[in-house]
Amino acid sequence: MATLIKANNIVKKFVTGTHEVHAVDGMSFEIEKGELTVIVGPSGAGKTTLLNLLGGMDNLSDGNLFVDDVDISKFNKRELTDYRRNEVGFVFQFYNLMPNLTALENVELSTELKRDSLDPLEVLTSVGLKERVDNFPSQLSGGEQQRVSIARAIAKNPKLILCDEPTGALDYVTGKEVLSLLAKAAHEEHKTVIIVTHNLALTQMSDHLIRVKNGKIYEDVRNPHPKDIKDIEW
Amino acid sequence: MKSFTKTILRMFKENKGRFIANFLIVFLSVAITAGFAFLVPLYEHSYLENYQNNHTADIILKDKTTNGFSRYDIEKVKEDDNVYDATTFMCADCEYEDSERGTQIYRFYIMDLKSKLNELKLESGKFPDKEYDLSKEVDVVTEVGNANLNSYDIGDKIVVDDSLLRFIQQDTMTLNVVGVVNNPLYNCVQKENATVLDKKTGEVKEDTYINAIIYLDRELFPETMDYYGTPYPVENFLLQTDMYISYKEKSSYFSSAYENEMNQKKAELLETFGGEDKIAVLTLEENISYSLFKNYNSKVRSLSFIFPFFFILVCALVNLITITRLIKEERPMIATYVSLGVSKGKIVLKYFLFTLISTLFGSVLGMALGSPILPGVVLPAYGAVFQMHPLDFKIQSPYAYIVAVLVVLTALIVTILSSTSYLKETPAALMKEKSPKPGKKIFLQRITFLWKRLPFRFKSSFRNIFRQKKNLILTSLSIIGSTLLVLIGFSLFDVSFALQEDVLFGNVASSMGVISLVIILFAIAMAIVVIYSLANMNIADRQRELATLKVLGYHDRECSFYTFREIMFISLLAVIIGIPVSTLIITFVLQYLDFGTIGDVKWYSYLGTFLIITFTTLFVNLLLFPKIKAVNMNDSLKIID
Repeated sequence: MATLIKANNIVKKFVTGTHEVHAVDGMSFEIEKGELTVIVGPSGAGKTTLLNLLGGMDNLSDGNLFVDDVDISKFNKRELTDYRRNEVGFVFQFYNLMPNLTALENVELSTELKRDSLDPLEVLTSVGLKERVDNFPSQLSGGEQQRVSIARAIAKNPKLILCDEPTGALDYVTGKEVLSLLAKAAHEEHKTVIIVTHNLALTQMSDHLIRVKNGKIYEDVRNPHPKDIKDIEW
Repeated sequence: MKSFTKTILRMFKENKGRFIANFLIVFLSVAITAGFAFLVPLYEHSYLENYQNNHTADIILKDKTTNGFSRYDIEKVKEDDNVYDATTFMCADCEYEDSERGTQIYRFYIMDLKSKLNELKLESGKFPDKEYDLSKEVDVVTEVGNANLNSYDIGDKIVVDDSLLRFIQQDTMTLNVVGVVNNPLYNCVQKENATVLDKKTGEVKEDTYINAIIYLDRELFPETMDYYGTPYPVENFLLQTDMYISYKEKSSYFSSAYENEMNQKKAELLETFGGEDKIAVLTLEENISYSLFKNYNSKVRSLSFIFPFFFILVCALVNLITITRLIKEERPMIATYVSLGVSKGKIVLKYFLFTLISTLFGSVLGMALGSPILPGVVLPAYGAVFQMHPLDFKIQSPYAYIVAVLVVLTALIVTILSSTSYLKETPAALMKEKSPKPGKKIFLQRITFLWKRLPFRFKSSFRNIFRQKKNLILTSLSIIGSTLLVLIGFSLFDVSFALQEDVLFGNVASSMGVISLVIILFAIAMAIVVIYSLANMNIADRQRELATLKVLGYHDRECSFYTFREIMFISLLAVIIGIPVSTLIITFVLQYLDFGTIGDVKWYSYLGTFLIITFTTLFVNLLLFPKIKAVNMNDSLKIID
């Protein structure tokens, strides 16, 4: 399998007054195409900062970050926006859907930005929301909203799908449904999916596990036999 | 309750923009209303200087028989104890061909130039003092020049033939200007109608105006004059055509009491002199300078009564928007305080203070700056038409203070009402974030064929616009208000321009142009503040949506279109509704002012209003672009709401 992401000693510092915090303090790793990667670690370990760097939401302070052999660490603001626009799909803990758009329109909002995107209706059907396409977010349950958000990420046909605590606001059963959708995207549709979480149970479903603590990676392993999400309990 | 005091201080610190918007809108409103409210009494006082200490004639009698007034007639008038003094003189308009100036009509006064009644004020030079030798030059003084009266320097010569002074046994006479004076009855540049006869037909010529006013001193004529060899007393030649009368006890000028008193005197005098066939009685009300100023000032006064209603409304509207927004943002804090047992009164007090301080500052500053500056700015325009004197800023306008207080009071009432209604919710309900208004199908979606064709981005904008109806109504009302104000400015300008061609109004109307310009500028400033605070609120409301768009890869420019499209659309909608509504209102305003008609308003004024509001909106959007750029993706996405 080909490498999609190559992080080379990446650093992100935040300066607050005289204080300098290294949220990401020299991490190096590689992520293959079509892999389901889970990044775990306690709060404040630097997971979200790492996700922001991978998603082009923030600049690196140091190091190189290659995505499909292109070094995004040198990107300016505009290039980063284009990178997010074309290469990345996001799934957030609180869904972040536009309240004034229907489920379908929320997906269209992201697909209209990119030429080779997938048909929004088909993608919504594939996440099981065919009957709900004309509903507004407020008319959907949390799980349904998160499925819209996954559809929004997938429909763009990005190189990379980034998920920040995707089950954080959901109950157990709904959370599992959402995770199996993400696993399906990686294993059946060969999308590269990265999930950031503090839920250690999720590590069992991953192809690739990265554990972070204090801004550093302390474990980076591949799991040749990921468990089906249905068989994982927490 | 130290921490509560701290939250109050922090509220001011964190809401500088809102504080400034609230302050500015009140400042502008009070500045313009106070300015106009002060303008009227200030100018009146300044203009009345022209009638001070000179015993201005309250009434002029004009003889209609060819006999003129005698000493006996003066005695008859003076039988009225209230007469301060009465004096007769000769006044005649004569037409001449001047080698340089062409056809000229001069009005001659032959009178006692030192008379204390309707005393002439010497502007420069001196009064004639040598006894007249009519075979040589005759010293005269002339009325001060202006746009419609020739201006003469001391030493200038005016050569006239004998059509006036037929008693002079020579073809021409040279008048030597020794001084320039101001007659209290001539105080504006308005053309004076002349009474000259057509030499062929013997009829009074129409549309003729005085080019110069020349005064000769009756007291300097020799006692007798020769007429074909025989000496006659000079009185026989100087027909006393006019009589000035001034009264001791009278009401103040420009009052209706004064007008009534003079009409009463007029009736009495007509009676005394045998009716309108024998005599014409002209009161000060019929004097062009006096009546024009009175008419003009009453229009500005009427205008100053219309403005406040409108401004108080806009201030209340902007304040309502500000406070609602402020409370909404501080909801969690309010909840905490309520649950900790802080009284609701104390919480209301917090927002009360915000409004009080911002509007009070605005009101006081608006009062302090508007009341001297606006009259000062408009003064040259008045000065171009009327003879004005330095303004006496000790003059007060109680009305301006009432408006200034009302603006603050209305804002405070709005604040109290909106914050108490908010606090009706239980602490538990307050603790929960108010969920954002859900998306809804809007009416437009039912027109399927249209909706389908709408570009995607527009669908979202339209839904947003109609989702928040309160917002839509407030925004539209504010913009309709600004439209009205801009169109009023333009209308006054057009009407002025139309009336300028009217002989009756002449130059006077042109100075209304300056007033209209001031109104337009204020209207634009207000539109900027109003649209800015609305657009700013819109952005604040949309932080999360904007952050989402950014994450999805929308560029800053595209994100700004997302919010600006709504503001532009509301703005367009409001201005499209606003123009016909304003036209209707202005029709009534002009009627009320008795100043032109809506038909005088040119088509390009409507277009100009439309463009000004549209460009103001665009300008505000540009102003707010940095705020869109500053929306932080990471901060906004983590928050649940």
